Amino acid sequence: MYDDIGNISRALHRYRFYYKLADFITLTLLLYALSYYFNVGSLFPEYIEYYIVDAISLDEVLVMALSILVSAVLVIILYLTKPVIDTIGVIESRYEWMQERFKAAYDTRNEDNVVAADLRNQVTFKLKDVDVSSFLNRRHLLTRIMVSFVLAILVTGLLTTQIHVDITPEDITALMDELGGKLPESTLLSRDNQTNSPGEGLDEETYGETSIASIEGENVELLIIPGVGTSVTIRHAGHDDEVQFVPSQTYPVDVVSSDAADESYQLLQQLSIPDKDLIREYAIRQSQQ
Amino acid sequence: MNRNTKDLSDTYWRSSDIFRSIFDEIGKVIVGQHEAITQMLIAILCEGHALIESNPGLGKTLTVNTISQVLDLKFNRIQCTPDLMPSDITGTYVVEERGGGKEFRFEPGPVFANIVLADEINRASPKTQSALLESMQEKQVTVGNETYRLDKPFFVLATQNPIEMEGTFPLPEAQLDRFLLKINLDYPSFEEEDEIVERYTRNVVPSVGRILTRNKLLELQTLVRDVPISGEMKKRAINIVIQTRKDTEFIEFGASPRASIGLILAAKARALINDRNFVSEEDVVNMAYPVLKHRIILNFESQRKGITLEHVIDGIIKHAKIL
Repeated sequence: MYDDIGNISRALHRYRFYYKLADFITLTLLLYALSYYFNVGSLFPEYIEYYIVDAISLDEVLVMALSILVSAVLVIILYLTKPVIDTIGVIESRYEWMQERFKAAYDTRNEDNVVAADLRNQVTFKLKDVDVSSFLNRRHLLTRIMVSFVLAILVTGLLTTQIHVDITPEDITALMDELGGKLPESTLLSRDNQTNSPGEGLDEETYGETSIASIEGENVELLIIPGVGTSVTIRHAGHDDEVQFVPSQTYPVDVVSSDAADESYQLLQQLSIPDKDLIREYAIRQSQQ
Repeated sequence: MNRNTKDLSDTYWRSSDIFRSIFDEIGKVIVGQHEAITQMLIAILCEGHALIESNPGLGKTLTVNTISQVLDLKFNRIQCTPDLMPSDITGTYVVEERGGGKEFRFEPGPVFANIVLADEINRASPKTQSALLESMQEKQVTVGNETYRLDKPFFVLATQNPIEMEGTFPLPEAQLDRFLLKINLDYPSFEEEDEIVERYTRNVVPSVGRILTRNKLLELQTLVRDVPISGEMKKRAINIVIQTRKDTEFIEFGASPRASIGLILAAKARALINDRNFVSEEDVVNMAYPVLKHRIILNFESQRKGITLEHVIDGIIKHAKIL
């Protein structure tokens, strides 16, 4: 019985190693493909000039090493969370006849009596019928192999064509800034797919679909950004009240220009109304960021 | 193997046939009550005792008498009454004339048998109950300065009538704990009652033959303790018993570690009776009810709400599974 359990246990550990290896290869290829495409190598500009072999620069090696390291860590974390292989439990779950019997036989393996011996003999006999290869999760393994194959082709293609995005950390910051700045405007001025061309959308009244907002609090400060209107309509259930806009002390409506900017102000005054509006819109956007 | 392996092996290989024959033979006299008969056999195989709660006329005496005949054991019955004295159970010294002189001779009481039916044990005085329960526990009787060992196997089946509580002395919890199982006898179904009437309204009264010798029964008792149980199943049984002490929502007092021993032994005996050479979860769960029923005392709130012991044990079994 012990030899059989040992053999099955070794096989189960071997299979788990196969799964780990397959997951590791797949993950490494995926990470490398992504790293190459997003030009992660640009994070190490000082190593671009160093070549290990003819066509492989040090930054590429570093990216590969980073992919291997990260995927190794991920695979370790993934398999650390999985339970330790319980050989008896695995066999019992697959072979119905073994359920409860196998554990009882194994736990009483040192008992010297006719009943325990009979149970051990029965279990040992049935263990011969256990097909070790049936515990190999072929679907899991095959999926990983196929994904790895596809990724290998992808990586080869990327390396051959040298397609990658020349994106720098500054680009990412700028992109995020841009996205962050557009969001409030889109909610305030560009409702219902109305586009804003320069000079548009700066009417005296805020336009768009009427929406009902519920604001709670003791001191609610209502602020209308200069240039987008002069009043706000507060609708209570049943009646309408128009409340005159009271400028905030923190954000005065009046434009106060500095002496240094006075010359520019004079120039601005000479601009046409559409151009003024365009500049005003720009100022509004900047103030919202 | 360190025992008389040949005899035990022989008994083990034949155990399945033996139990089948026992049930068939008892079935000639007793109609239905298969679960109760199984539990009585389990108590005998575990060298324990059983407490039967049933209404009158359900065949308690007949069942026990039949079992004793089938197992070839000496059977005695004690009808407990408030004026029953301990010596009426254990026996006493009588003066006997021998060779012209007089000497004391010990006259054994009804407890000196293999199977003793203590009918309506709660009608006996606490003093008499104690005498019986002491002999159950120690498997010996002390009269005067002499100690007499009781014959093996020794099995006491005590009955209680659940409907007449007036003039009774309910068994204290500590003494209830000495019973391995509490068995409930239910009324038979229509078909069973029809069969009972059919059998017992004729001139020929059903009878049974001997199936087992006393020694074979002792070997079966040894085999029961040898039935393998996995560590997981042992934990499950212990968790069930421990949970009775943790559950304060419904239970006032839980079961003692003696219940853990009883539950595992009873599960082993049930496995052997069911022709299994290992203890299954089914055995543990099934035996939890008769093992725990008389060892748990529900609190006032549970009794007020009408919560039954079966309901509480159900919950404990489910909870202990996920511990």
